[in-house]
Amino acid sequence: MMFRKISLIFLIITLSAACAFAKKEPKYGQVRQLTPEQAALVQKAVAREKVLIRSIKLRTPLVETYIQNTRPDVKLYEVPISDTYMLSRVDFGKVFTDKAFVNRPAGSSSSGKHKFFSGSLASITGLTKALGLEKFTYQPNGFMGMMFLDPTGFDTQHYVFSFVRPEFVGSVRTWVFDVHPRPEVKGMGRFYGRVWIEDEDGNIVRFNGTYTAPTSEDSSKYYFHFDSWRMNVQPGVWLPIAVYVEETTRMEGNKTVGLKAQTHFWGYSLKLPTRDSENVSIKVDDAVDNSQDSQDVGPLQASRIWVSQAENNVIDRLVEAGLVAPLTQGGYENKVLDQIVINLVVPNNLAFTDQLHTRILLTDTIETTTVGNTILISKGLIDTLPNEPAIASVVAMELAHIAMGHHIDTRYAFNDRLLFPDESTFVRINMYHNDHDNQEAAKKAMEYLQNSMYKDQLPTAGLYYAQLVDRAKALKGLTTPRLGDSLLKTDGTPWMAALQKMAPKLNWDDLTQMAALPLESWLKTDPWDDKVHQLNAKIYAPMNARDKMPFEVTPIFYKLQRYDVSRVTTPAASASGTAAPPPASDQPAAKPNDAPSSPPAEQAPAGDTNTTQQQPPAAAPNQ
Amino acid sequence: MMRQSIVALLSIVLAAGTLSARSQVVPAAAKSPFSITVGGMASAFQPDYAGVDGFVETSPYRLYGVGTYVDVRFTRWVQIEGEARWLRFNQFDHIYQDNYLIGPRFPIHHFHFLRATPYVKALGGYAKMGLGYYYAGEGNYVLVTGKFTDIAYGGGVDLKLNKRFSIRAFDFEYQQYPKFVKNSLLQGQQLFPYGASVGIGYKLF
Repeated sequence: MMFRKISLIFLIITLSAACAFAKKEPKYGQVRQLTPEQAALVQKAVAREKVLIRSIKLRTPLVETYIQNTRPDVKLYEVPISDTYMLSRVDFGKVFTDKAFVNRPAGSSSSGKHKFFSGSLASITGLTKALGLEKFTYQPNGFMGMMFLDPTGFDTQHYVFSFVRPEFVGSVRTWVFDVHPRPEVKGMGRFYGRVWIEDEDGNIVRFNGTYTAPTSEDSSKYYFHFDSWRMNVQPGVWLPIAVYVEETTRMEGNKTVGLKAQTHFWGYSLKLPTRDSENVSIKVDDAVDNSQDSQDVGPLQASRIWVSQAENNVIDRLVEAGLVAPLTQGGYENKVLDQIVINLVVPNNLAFTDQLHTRILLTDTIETTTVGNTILISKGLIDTLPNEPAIASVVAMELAHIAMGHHIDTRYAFNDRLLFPDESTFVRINMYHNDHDNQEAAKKAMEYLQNSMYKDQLPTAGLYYAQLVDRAKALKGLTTPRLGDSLLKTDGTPWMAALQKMAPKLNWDDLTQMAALPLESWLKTDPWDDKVHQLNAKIYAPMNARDKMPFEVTPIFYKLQRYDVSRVTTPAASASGTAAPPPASDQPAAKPNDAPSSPPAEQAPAGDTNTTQQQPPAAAPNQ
Repeated sequence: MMRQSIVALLSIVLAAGTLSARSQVVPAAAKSPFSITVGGMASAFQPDYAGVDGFVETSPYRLYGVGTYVDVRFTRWVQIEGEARWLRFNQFDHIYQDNYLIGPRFPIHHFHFLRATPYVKALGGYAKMGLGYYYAGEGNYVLVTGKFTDIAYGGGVDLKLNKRFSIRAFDFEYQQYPKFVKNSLLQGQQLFPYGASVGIGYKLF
């Protein structure tokens, strides 16, 4: 009996002692008393934050997160070892969550081959995910949440503010405060770090820190450190645009791994009232009323019109889904890509009866495809291409697809086939070519390049493919196409293998050799209207091998500006229609020598990167 | 009285365990909480059976033994423990108890202090018991054994040493054999052995 009592008392004492020694809340820096002026600005910021949350509740922007896991490297400091790509639409209805875009089935690839066991592997992966047996999983919701400091409790009752200093972020004057939860406020997921509050309306324009972690040591949930940016996209409206995430000492198993990620938001003005894309009305802004000049149409012409109708439907649907950038007149597509098309079309005497267009897929994945006479190149691909010959090599292959008649399925000429939620786009629209078509197009593309002004610069272009092959195994998320074709075959070799063979050996120590650029090197997406603009940034040559960072995620920095209507060349709130682009084939005969050919040190693609770009509606972010 | 105290204790710790902290912003990543830990332990138990005419009573001879346990963790709060214990030392009149138990285990909290995890558990299974020698007539004695349903309530504290090893600093179990029957005269009798264990565990993955 005595033994029973002793045992029970010992158990109770042990439990009580453990509770008594529970970890205390983390200690923060000393709090500095705010002046009345500072306190007033903080109150303004709290109020504006609530307005921002209400504003985002009305919208369903797209959110793209690209994560690279890295390991330390003696020469390059760190190298990516694996990656994850996530694309979702913010759904801030009853709860703040996301609707992930469904990837096309694992078996379907640009090669068109169904990989043996791929279905079984997918189901096993799904099963392990459902059972929670996966080792480490990233949550799209968690990265998306970094657009807010605290969606439900950001106020002076829950947080303590300490003034740091005034500071300019770009041309916006801000007051900087350190913020942390009050000691009595418990729970995880509360922001602590630094905030930049603009001094006119009290909008938070940047915040940098992390969220309070679970108090339990053994918790399996993780918050990362991040730097979140907002932009003045409309008068008085500051909206989240990008987040940079970095952890350099995360433990995974017994290994020390790092993490770098970028999250981008866009498509704010696309879907104001609707939560789900019922697609009841697809806008075709560039539809032209041709009823006045009606005439008979022959069978061939009817077929072409039919194909063209399918193409237009698909492009319009992709623009509406926020996956293809609306065309900016005189923008990057016209100034750079169309010019390269001309530089290839003219010397090869390609007589296209229909107009050729180029458009930009807004994803960071490296992919390209054609929809009828429209060449689609992903933003991620353009961003990483180091020079004009490399861009030309991509364009040449797509041009070959068009010339060889590899058009998309005409079933999309029926609008009902495009009535699906945006999140199903990758599954419902098939825009990739089969292996045979890609093989043929690659051969033809080499002919086009050999006949063009780029023929002497092909080894430079080939370097890109060599670098891509080098990094492809680690960066599967980046190199796996969502809509179009991969630049690589299923065996990991590039379709343009002939070009890769012409390239010199990759040499990290050769600083003039820029095989591929980091992500976000050339283009920026306007988060309000989805248009893409070329960065107006100074280009720096690498000083060492670590500066090269091919295909890598890098930190984000914006030189913020206040929204200024007079600086906006086109109305920021313009509808996201597809304005008719100028036909490339209608351009006067191209003068190949006119196309700028930039030296590698400047890494400039076609177009003058030093010319002032069209300003986005608000700030001109310089990275 | 003893039973009531234990029920009250279990209720308190379970209620404490279900208080989950609400997060403002959801975490960006989650590691799979699934893990399997195996371990060995040494135990000291009061068998609650003295072997005198088969009556249930506190024995002056405490049983000692060894055992093994497996903890399967599915989530932070959903865990299963299985254990086997052989209380074979310090026997009196060949009275011994073996336990084979499995059931849910609830960690209450993970503390930074000593990296301690107090837990409670409720296990079920069976016990094999040696009941001692009994007179079988004609001058013969036979060793009688029995197999009984065994329910165990308990709790303890695990201390995490490193990624792989942990110490079971203290584990208390209060067992119940609801249908402990020696002979027809004693029907309705229950046995309540109890005891404590210490051990060491190794996390397989």
